[in-house]
Amino acid sequence: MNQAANSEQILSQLHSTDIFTDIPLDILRNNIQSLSLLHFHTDDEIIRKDEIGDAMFIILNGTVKVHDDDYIVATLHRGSYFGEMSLLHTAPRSMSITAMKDVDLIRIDQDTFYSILKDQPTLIQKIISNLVIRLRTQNNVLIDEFKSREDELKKQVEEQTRLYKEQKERAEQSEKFKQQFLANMSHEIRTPMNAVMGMTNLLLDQSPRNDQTHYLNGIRKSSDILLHIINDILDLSKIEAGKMELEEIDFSLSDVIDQIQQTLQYKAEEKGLELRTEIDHSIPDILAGDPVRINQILMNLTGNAIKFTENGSVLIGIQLIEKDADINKLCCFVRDTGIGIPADKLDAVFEGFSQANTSDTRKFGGTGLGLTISKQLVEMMGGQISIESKEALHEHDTEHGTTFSFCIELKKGSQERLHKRILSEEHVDGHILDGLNILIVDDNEYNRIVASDTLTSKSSIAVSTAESALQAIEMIQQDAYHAILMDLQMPEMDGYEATRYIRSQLPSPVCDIPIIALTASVLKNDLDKCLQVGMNSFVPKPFKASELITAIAGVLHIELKHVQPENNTNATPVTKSHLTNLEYLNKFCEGDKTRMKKYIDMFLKSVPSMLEKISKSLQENNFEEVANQVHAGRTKFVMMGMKGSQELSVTIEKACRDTLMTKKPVDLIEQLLKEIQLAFEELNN
Amino acid sequence: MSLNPPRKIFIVDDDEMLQTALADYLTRKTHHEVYCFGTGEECLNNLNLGPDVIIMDYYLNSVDKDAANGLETMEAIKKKYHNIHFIMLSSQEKYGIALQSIQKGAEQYVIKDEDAFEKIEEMIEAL
Repeated sequence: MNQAANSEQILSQLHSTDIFTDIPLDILRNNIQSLSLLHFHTDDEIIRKDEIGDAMFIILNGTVKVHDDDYIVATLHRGSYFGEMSLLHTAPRSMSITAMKDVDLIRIDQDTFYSILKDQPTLIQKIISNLVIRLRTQNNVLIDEFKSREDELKKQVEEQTRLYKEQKERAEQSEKFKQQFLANMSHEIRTPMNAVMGMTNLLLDQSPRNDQTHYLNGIRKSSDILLHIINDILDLSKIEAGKMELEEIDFSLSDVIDQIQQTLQYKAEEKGLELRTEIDHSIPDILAGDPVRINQILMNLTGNAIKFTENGSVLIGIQLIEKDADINKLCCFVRDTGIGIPADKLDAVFEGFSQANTSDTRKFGGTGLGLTISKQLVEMMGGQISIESKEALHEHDTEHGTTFSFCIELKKGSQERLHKRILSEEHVDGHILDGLNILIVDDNEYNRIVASDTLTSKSSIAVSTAESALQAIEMIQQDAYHAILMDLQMPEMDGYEATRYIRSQLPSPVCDIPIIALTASVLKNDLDKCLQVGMNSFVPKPFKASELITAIAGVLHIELKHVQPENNTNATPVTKSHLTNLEYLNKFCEGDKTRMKKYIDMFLKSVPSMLEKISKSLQENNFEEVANQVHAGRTKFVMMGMKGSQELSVTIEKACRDTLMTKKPVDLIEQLLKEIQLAFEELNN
Repeated sequence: MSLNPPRKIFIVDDDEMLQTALADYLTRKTHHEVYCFGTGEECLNNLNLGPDVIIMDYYLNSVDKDAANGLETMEAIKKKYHNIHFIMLSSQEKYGIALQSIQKGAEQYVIKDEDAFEKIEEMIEAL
């Protein structure tokens, strides 16, 4: 800033500016006592608003900008003035004035300025019109600024909306992919699993050698485990997608518990643990609910308990909390003496893919989904799983362990309905399909073999196979089939498309042929789609023989028949001549008559006590003991060539030990007693 | 006739017919010494005879409920005598029983059917 020396020169410069030019130079000279010319360089900050005070500044040379931090409010040129009374009045406090080019300013104090204005209406008018123009300019600048900010905001909102939409679409897409992936997985895994399990069963049915039976049973067991893991994953995704549906069927609670104990007993024993059950006797045994899911929950909890317990015991308990005419409120719990769960990890145990310690997964195995699934299943049944745990504080701390418990309400079931259901599921007579001609369509060779062999082993049914939908369409136009079993996922033309084609493009009656989907998918969407495209029924893979038979009978309106072991009585009439056959004994004793006699005598000697024991157990309704006695007699039947009795004894033992079979084969047992008596008489002669 | 040195074989089964028939069969077909016992307890009391192979019925207590079953007897013996071979006999074709038997130390698991004796003979010769 330079103080100007020559005031007369400054005065003439001032006089030459627009606003003062009409004012006589004398008035300026008389009024202005002291003039200071201020000089600023480009980018110098001239002044801030709060520093202006009561001064007025007139620009003699150069340009200034009036601005806040972000934008310029106004650009002022030579002859413009600013001060408290001008535009700065309304400007924000942070506003400042900066030189755009080198600037010369004259500073006049307010009183001087007013005295110059006195009696100068033209000047006042000029100032006012200047002010108006400036305000208008400022206003326009602000409006522009506002508009540009608004536009920017709009753009930002649009951009955000677009991003959100994109993300939403992506999420939806990925959810779709997930569903599709799961459906595919379920198909891709179940198809080979179906082949493995089906063929294992077929091999087991072909009387393999003992060692082969063990290996095959091993394969079957491992496949079961694998299927279990797959089902876990699929179950969880089904629950998450809200697609899990619970059944309400009659079932025996004690059977559910027995099955769990049977399955897990070895595991527990292997670790030296005691696996106990405590079932409240006042609970009615037959309840209505979803036994598969209840089994799954208890199996998960108990399996976990065994996994995480090194010493002591695991207890499965069920107590009756409340009971009225129809509803039973049960509290189920699984208590172990295991390592316990740290208090801060208690909530996390129910989260998917989690075990209290990530290193646990390697040690204990499993998918880590069991508890998550159990929790969700219990919630679907209207209950809540709770957990209590005490962690072992030191090595000799015995007061540790975990208890999982939940309460659910179950209706009372019907014994009669249960019995009917079991018969219909397990003992369907395949021969109701005799004489039918069925076409199996599957691109997988192994699956064709499994389906076809399963059917032909249970009935005298004619089975043809096609390896593609196109081949099948050709075949059904040439030969008449009663029904088609069709795989859903095949290359070229899938099962849906094939069905649509058959239903819409082929002439009657071929277009009406019943079609049963063989599907590895368990997703409700897929099953609905089967029916939508015109399929009549579906059988999920891996299938059981009874399911296939039931489905075929269903679409052809053939009445189901059940094989009832009890009915075998009449099938083998007791005739004297066929009861014993000494050929085996003869061979065994290499024709040595004395030795043969020794065995026959041994048999004859054992018969009275055997008959007595079996009859006594039968009278006492002690069927377990009947099973034991019948079992013990089997070698004798083999040695005496009593093939009929030997087979009968197997049937009886199975039926007696089968807790689901409530009606015991009394007539079969009586028949066996008769046969033994007759064999006794036969050999006695 | 096998070239294997003679071995001591115990048959533990409460079914007299099976006991006798199997003993009969093995004595004729092999040159091994065969001893028969009707209960697990009897078998335990005679371990001083030094058996090489024990053929054990799984349902050893099907007649006498309080007697030890085949699995328990085998476990008790295995604890002391690791070198005795066990063949578990059962008339039931159950994977659980087979698995349990093998897990608890049986080398073989044989189902009592018409070929059972022949299989047992093969197994003994293969041990």
